Amino acid sequence: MRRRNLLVGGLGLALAVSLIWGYGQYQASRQLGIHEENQYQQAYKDMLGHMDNAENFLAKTMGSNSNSNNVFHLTGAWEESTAALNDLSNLPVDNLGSPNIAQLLNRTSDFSYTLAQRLAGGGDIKPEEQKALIDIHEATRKTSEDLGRLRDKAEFEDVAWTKARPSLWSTVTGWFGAKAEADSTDITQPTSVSQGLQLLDTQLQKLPPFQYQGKFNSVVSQSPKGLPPGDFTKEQAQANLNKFISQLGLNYNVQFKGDTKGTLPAYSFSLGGAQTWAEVSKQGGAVLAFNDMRDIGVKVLSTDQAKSKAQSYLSSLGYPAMALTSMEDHGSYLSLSYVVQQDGVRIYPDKVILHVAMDNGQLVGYNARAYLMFHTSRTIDKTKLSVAQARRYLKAGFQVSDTGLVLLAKDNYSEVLCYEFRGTVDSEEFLVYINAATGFEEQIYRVIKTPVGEYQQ
Amino acid sequence: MGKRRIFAVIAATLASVLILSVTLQAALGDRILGRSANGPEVRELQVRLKQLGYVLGSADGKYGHKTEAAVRLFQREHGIRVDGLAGASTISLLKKLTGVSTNYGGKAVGLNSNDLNLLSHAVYGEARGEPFEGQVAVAAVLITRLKDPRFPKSIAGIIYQPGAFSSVNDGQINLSPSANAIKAARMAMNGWDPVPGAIYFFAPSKTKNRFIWSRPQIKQIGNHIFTR
Repeated sequence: MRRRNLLVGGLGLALAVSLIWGYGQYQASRQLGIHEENQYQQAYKDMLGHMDNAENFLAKTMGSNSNSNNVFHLTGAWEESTAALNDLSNLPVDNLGSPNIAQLLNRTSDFSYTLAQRLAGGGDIKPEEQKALIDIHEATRKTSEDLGRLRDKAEFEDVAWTKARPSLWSTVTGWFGAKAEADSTDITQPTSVSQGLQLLDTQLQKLPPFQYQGKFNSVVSQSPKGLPPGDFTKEQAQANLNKFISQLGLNYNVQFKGDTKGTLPAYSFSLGGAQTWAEVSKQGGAVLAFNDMRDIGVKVLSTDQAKSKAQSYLSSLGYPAMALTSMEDHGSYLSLSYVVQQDGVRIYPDKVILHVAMDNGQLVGYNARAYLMFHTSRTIDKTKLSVAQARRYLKAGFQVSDTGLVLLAKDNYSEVLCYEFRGTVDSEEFLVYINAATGFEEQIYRVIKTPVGEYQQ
Repeated sequence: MGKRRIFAVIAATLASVLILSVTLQAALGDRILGRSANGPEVRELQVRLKQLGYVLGSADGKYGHKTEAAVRLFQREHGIRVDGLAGASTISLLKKLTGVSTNYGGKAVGLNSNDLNLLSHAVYGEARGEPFEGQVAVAAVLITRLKDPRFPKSIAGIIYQPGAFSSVNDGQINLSPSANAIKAARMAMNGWDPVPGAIYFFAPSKTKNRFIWSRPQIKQIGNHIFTR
């Protein structure tokens, strides 16, 4: 009798404890749900607010006749669309998120920035750009209108902000194979705001693309200039890889792994071992890159010895004269970047990176993608300005420590001959690139000393 | 009797304060550290090793077998003679690799280490069992996304976008990245890209999502397929 009472009492206590614990969990879960919805609402409404501001700035550019005012409007449009993009990245992603809204915001931001820069430099907006501005403005206005309507649905038509968590019943039936309720595909009756956002995003795909020249519009897939024409089979590619390996004095068991598709089709090989890889291009059969993460022994080489080893590898692989532009010291290996040097000019786009192991000087890393993409026979113009004349374009107080001639690649892949001045102003070191024909300051990089080497940004 | 005792106590206190102050102010590099060493220099050694991705438990200032194993691994991976003792060459390289970046004038500058930190976490969270090439590829995907107008404009935005990566969803992103993950992230930042043009990757055995399967595939490395 007593035992039974004890048992009942014990079970009763356990039940009470479970209920209390369950209630505590429920409360915590509710809190988290509220917190999540708050975050979502903030991001959504902030994004909408910024988008409205951007739309307003864009509208003003259509009415203003003053270039200096338009610089202000376009800078505003740039800033607000960038902020909207930031908020978009805080919204949950289903499948792919909202790539089309992101693209619209990115293009708005990019285009506004480009135009603002140009106007600030004294230029004008071209007629086709006026048209593009009108198109972008309309797309932004329409998107902002739709987003506003979706927000109102949440407030006045009981559409939830985020998809509700599956109830206990649906979770359990889900274990037994029951399918979850499908989302609505009707933009006027979304299941939730987050789902409505997705539907809206797919609708945006139907808008025509904008024509303009900006950072994102630059052709991403260029045809590689440094690769000879003609496609190679995988056997021919493997033969080239074997030749490459023996030219470097290395010994590997090369095995074909598969094809690499995409912008630069290639064949993928392993060199024996899971920590090696090599890629040979289909066009021209050139070795694009290889890497061997083998264990590297105790360092015996000096930096100078490693550099001369790297130079000898470049010669045996048939590279033209190259100059060392940067070096990273990782202890067991050195990462060296070389560019082509032609007529005393360093050609920055034609870059090769080598990793030299410091135990025996072997090459353990090779990346020639940039070189093979951009190297071509070039005629380099003579400089119109002398060094002394170019120096006059530097800021007063700039202490020059080194000078050189380089071919610099700009954002849109065009190349320009520049004087490179390395120097300091107060406590900062810079690399300033002065156009060798016009004296225009094409680019400026700041030099940072990192633990492994110099970094330019 | 009492006087002698007081004198002894004072002497002992002074001596211990002296010893304590010496050990408390001992800086990393003053002496060779090995098993059974302990103190703030050992703690600094442990923290620096952890920054490079070497696993040794918590930085408790005691040079135990885990710390020694981490030191050995560090030495092996950096071309230093492996002896498990943190001597001059080990400590100076460790300090160099974990130092801060500075401008010309010597002031600390954070640029570029923040992205490295983010990418290392992402690589470790998403691809830690994968071949090294796959780890570099994951980091390269994130960097390619940065240049693509369909994605957020910062590495943090790309990684932490809710729902984009499973390791962020389940918290694995917060694990401390290994030395290999850091190396892979660094190489991707230096322009190494085994999957040029890839902006998505997925584990074929783990997803049936129709959209991702419909994307044009570039390459499979280990357990991940990379797509455009």
